[in-house]
Amino acid sequence: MSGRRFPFVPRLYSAALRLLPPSVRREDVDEMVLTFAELWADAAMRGRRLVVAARTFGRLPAAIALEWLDVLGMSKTKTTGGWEMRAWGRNLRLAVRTLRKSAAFAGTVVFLIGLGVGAVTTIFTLVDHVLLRPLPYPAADRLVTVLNGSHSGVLFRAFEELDGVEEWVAGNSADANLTGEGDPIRIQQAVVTDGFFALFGGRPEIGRLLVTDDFEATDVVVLSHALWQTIFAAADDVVGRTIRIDGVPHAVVGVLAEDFEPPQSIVAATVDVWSPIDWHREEMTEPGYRMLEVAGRLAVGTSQAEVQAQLDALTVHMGELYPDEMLNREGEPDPMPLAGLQDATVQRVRTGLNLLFGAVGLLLLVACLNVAHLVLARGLGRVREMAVRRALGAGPGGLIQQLMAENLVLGAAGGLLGLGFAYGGLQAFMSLNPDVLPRSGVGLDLRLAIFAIGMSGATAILFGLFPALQTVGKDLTRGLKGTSRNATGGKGTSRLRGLLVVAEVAISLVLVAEAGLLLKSFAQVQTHQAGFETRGVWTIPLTPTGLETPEAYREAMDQIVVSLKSLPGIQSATYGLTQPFEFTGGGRCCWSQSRVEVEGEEHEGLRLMLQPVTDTYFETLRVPLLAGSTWSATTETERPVPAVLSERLAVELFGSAALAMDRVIGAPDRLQLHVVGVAADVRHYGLDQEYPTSAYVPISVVPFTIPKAHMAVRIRGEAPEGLARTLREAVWRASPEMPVPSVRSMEEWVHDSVSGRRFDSALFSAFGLIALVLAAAGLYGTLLYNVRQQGRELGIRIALGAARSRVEWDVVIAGLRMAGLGALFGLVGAGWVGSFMESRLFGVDSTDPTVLLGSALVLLLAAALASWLPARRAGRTDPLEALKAE
Amino acid sequence: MDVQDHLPLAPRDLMILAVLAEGALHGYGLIKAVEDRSRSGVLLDPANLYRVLRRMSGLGWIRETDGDAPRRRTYEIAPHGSAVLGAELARLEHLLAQARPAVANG
Repeated sequence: MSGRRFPFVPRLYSAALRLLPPSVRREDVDEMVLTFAELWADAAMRGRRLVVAARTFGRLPAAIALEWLDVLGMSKTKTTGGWEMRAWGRNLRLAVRTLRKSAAFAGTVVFLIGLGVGAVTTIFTLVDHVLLRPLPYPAADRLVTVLNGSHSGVLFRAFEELDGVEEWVAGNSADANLTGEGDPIRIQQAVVTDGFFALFGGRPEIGRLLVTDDFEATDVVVLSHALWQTIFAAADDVVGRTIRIDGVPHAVVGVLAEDFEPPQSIVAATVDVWSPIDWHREEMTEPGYRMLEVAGRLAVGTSQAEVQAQLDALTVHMGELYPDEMLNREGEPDPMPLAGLQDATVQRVRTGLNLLFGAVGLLLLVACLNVAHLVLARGLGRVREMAVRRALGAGPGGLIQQLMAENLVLGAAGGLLGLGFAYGGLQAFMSLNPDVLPRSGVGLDLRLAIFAIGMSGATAILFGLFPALQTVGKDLTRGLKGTSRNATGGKGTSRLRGLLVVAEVAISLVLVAEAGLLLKSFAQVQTHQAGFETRGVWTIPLTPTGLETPEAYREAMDQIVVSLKSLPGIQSATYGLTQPFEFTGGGRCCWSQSRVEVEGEEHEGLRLMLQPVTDTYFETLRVPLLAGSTWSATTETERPVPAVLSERLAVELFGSAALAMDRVIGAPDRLQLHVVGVAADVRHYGLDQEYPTSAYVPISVVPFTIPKAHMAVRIRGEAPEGLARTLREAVWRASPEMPVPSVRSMEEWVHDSVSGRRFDSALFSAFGLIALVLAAAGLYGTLLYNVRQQGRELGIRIALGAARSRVEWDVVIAGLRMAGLGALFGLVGAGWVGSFMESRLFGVDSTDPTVLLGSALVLLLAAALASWLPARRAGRTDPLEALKAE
Repeated sequence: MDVQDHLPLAPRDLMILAVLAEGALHGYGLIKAVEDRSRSGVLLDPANLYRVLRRMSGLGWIRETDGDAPRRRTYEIAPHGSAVLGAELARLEHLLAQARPAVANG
């Protein structure tokens, strides 16, 4: 079954088939899946998908149940198995028949269990895959990494001298351009040390991986399986071919096997080509050139603490050897904490996933409470049936067994549905938010199916057992005397039902309040202005590699700008090292100074973000200049370098924009800036970030050929049809080999920069809404039930002259009292849970009174509505009818 | 076990045997062949089909064979299956012959 990829629906079918008994699975599942896939392809061709899906999936539960009955020896056709098992079999069949008769009840319960179990399974799959499952490498529990940024080649060599570590490897990855294979494309190239693939258990699909000799020449590559398939059409003769990466020929020596998962704490999540690291490069001996991410495997029996102690000593030693590079501003060596590779990899998402897991757990609880309601209500309606059967000689054990059989059937069906929901949920989650997870290949598997089924079974039994005991344990004679009034159950039951409602409301409030906090954060972020006119700006990020000198880089980029500008409808064009909203969510690029000196005086705690741009930047983005003006082609070569400060930097350094004019920043021996203008603040790093302390400098001062340039153009009026294509072709006219991976409007960048928050709020809003509806439904059901049971009492009251409005009001009050009590508990819970999500909030306190009280109000309104409907029914009680019914 | 003990056959079993009597088929082919006789009212789905096939194999009515489709399991009817099919058809024909005059004579 593995290996071949099927479309979504056949995979769903295949997932569902895992519920079959193991013996059947071994024998027939592969054939079933293949047959289904063919059937499905045929159905798709003839437009009969709905019919075929209904037929095949609809008959699946029956087939699965029958197979299990066979295996357990409970089916009619076989006579094996003890009488107890047969009793279970009979009870299960009876349960299916009974439940069929009350399809609405069964459907609701199955749906509720399915919903809750589906949500929990979805998130648990993520939690399990990302947090719990060991990394897919040999001896994964002994793999460690050194935190606190990247490391230099010098330091790596020092790591290799440490005792107790069997092997150290290092690497990093960066964008590169692949040319000569169709359109030029941008790829991820990783460079790694010898032993990398051995440590992480990489295997070649064809050819070989890197060997020690490769580290002498270094112009060889190993292709990823994906690149091999997409670009090289999985051709076997790719080994031995030469491909051009950043213009440099590399010999292909092999292709990595498909199942290799790149270690994401070292390289990017998807790496296209792997090359040996070049130890001969001069930078590798510079202690300040920190470009390597490292991992090591501890020797058996060595503890992290032992290695940590050596690292601490090494830290001090390195600080003495290289004070300039290895000491921080306080003159202290930066610590180098050792951490398990797994912890280091998943740290980023741990709280987020745990939070989600907590939220769906609450959702499941609300769904379960509702199930308990329904089962309880149904049970109360059957007290008489049970009493009759007991009078006829059925033992309580048998009756409970029968009730539990019903619950089991409900649970199993709910679990099946939940599995379907989980499958869809995972697909949706991965397609909405594919970049959030530090592990790839998330999918449902057998363990999770068992988890889901087990959980729904537990749900059904736990929340069904108590009602079953209540139902069966009722006093025999009272049950038999049998008016419906007598069968309402005593005070205990109604109190239990009340408690369930209170709990539901409380939990729902927690979820609604969480959603509220996230929504308000999202709204707060949206109120922030970008600081320039985003409308009409389109940008083109480029990776110009292979340009040897800064001059060549600038010349090539200038030509692209000229080509872009020559297009009709383009008002102006510019480029910079980065553009606003390119790096968001805490990311920073590319050039900054932590030592800021003005006229001999150092400014503590300020980081100068240098933004190299061309002189048309402010005009193109329409960033208002508050004072002075930008540099020109003639003045940009002056020294000190002419610079335009952001308003925030000007104010922090000099007090105001006007005071900043003409001042000089920086020590004489370093980059010195001469302030020629002050520009309005721009939210360069995202709407939810503070204004950066930026200094815009001419791009010609960039002293290195960093392979990055981000073009921006301003268009007149609306974007014409096919603008992206036009812009792309304009780039290619000036630079035919340049990959143009994307052309996007600035509005898209802004939109994307808040997509994480949008996703969060949407997800939690959905949870909150579901919980709200469930709580309201629970309240509604309880009150309606009470009203029905009190029909006679209400009739008497109305007959005696009680105002109908008074009767209605009493019901509403009863509902609101339960909801109010629940809301009170919920508020406390929401405040507590909110404190766990403070890191995800923006401009909102976790105990924000508007949000908390607002959520409570929403809940009480829903409760009022849910109470009003039964109340109206109570008010309309016809006294005659009610009394006659007795 | 005597052939008669298995009669009457369920319509589904009858159709499967009837289709296999015309030639060996794999699962998908079987479903399609039965579907093509759509007026038979029998529609199959993979999960139930293989359940039935397993039972029939166990009873010795059908058996696996090396079909033309590589790596797919192909079934053909076994002599015992042919006997059961023949007996069932004879039973049905006999039944029809008995019942039809009632309608024909109005």
